[in-house]
Amino acid sequence: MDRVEKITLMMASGLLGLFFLALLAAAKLQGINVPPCLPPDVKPFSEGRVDTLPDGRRQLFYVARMWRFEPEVVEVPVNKPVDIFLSAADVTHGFYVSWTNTNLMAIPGTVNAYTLKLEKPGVYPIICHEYCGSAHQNMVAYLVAK
Amino acid sequence: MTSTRETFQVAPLSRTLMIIEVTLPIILVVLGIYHGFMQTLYRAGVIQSSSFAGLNYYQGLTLHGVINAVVLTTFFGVAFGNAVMQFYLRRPLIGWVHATSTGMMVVGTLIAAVPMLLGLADVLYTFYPPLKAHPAFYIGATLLVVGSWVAFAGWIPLLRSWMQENPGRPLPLAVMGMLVTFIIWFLCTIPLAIEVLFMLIPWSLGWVDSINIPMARTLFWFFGHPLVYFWLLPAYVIYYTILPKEAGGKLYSAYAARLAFLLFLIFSIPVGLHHQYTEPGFDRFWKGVHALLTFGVAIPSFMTAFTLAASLEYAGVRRGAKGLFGWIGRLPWFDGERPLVAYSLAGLLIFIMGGLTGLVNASYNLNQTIHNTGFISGHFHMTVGGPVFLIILGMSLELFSQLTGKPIRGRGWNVAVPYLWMMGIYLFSPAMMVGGLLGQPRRTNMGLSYLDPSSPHFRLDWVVTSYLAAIGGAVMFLAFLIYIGVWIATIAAPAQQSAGELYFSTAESLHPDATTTSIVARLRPWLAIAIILILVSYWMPLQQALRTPENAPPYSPDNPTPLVQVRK
Repeated sequence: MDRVEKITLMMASGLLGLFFLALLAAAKLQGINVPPCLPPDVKPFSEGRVDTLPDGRRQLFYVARMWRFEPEVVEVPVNKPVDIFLSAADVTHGFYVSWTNTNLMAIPGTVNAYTLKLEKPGVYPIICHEYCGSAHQNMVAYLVAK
Repeated sequence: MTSTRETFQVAPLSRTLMIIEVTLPIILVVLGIYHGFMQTLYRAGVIQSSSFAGLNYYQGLTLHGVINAVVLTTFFGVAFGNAVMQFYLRRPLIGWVHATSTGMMVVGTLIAAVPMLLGLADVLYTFYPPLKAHPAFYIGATLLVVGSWVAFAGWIPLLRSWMQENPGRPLPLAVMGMLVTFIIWFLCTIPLAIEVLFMLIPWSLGWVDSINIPMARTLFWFFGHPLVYFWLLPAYVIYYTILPKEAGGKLYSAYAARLAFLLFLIFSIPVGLHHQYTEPGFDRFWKGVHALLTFGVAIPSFMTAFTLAASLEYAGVRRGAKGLFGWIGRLPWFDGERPLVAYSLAGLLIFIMGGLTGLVNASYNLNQTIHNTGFISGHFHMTVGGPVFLIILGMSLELFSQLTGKPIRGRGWNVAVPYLWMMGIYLFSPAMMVGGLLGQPRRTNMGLSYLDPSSPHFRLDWVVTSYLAAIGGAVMFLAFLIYIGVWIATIAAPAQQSAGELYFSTAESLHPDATTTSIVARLRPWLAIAIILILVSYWMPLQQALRTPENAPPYSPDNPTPLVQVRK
């Protein structure tokens, strides 16, 4: 192979390697990560609820169903970590808290999880971003950060 | 080097079949593109309704995806592969095999079209269960895919006999490219076949109550990402063989081209989990492995960018260009006699951004900001809706012209199509991507809620980007109408050459090509690496999908009650 091509090949691989290290650094050092894998004995739930742990930490259990989220409107404290758990009661749904990294799929038969921290007070729409049938476009919930 | 055009005369039966293979999908794509434009109007709130002119938004979205991304691309891959094999191997296709393959693909397409047109399969082209389509949708799609396998099987005897007669020569580059394309296609349609035959069809017929959804999704994306290389690689074959010659130069290095195809063979399949980063059920480690391998599949595209730019620079210099960038101006951008140059260059200019945004999507945690938003649709309209679609348009017309002996009419209009399309894409895709970063979902009839000022869910911050996307959609639609006009003019005109004479101009290699003993002229070691990587990357994720606590019954898209009550 031509020398220039070998250089190109190495530069492309090096650049991609650098990108990959940056992603790992964001995951390890800043804690920006993809959803974890919960143990298989965590069973899907069919009713939404809000729990508060003894230390005051809020845990939100969302159920996505055609075509609404339960609970629909939840108040959460600003700048405090909030645990989100997500199940689907019927088909596959999406769960995207606007302007955040909380972007999850609700898959039937499973529980998804993520930790969210809202840094500014305000109303954050949660959008269903996976097609879930004829009224998919109406499937919205709200988080109110105070 | 020969100065005469060495054409290949296609046998009458194969000629008729190939004309069907290129025209039928183009006719269907009229509907697919129509609804592409309509979607941008719904999403901008110009149309605030669940349907328009008898076509529901999600029904049209299903047609848009299935026709444009599955039917058109599969027919084109087979038609172009048939042409490449016949022309470069100088051997006729086996008539009955060709007829069986085309027959299965046409019948499969029609069987799947009926439920889609009746609104009994509004499940989009990813058909994610537990939304259920009419069984005919899955059965038709299976026939289409198996028909393409038959076409591939029909090329094997031709390849064997060519290799026996030419022991000292590596396979012609175009043949090798199409062979790699169809090996990838065959490998990745196996998990699809398992999903459809053993899960979806029995479940849609009511023979089983419920299925494992994470397993179905994993099998789908096992197929779904290599699918995009099945779309892209025929375009790469044309970029590597026809484009440098038509531009007036040589291919910078056929050796590097072969290496690029082989890297696609090993990296294009073990990457599907990058569509499932936001799903539960898989260890982060395996998502990371698929992220790393997806970065690997970017390497052959970086190489291709270099090799093509070097080849085009060489062509420009041969045409008398001076200076560092003078070659750009010397390329035959608007030559109506060489329309494939226009279709290729516009496609490549789109693909620069398509490839780079693809890296964003592949980027593990970065995907958290854009998963399932308009960013994704913006991205893939610069890949499958860019170079892939433009090469399919340009080459389908060229094949039709050669097969019927009718010269292309409206040559000036024809070379305007790709550039107009490119302008449309460069309005549409950035608008979709910025909208995506603002949180706009993909695949959503936004005119009924988010873009309706009277709705409680109205989003003022999404108005500008959705209107810009609609303007881009209108420009793309106009480009496609001109293209259809060129087809009609070409069909209407009388034949002037003898029909069925295939000819592809083919660039020589500037730097030495591989010899038969060279590692890039051999497929088996690369195929072995590909299979090992597939097994390693998918073994654990498939085990993890199997642990899913509960299965799911089928649902109709318009009713929250399951179609089957699961016995517990």
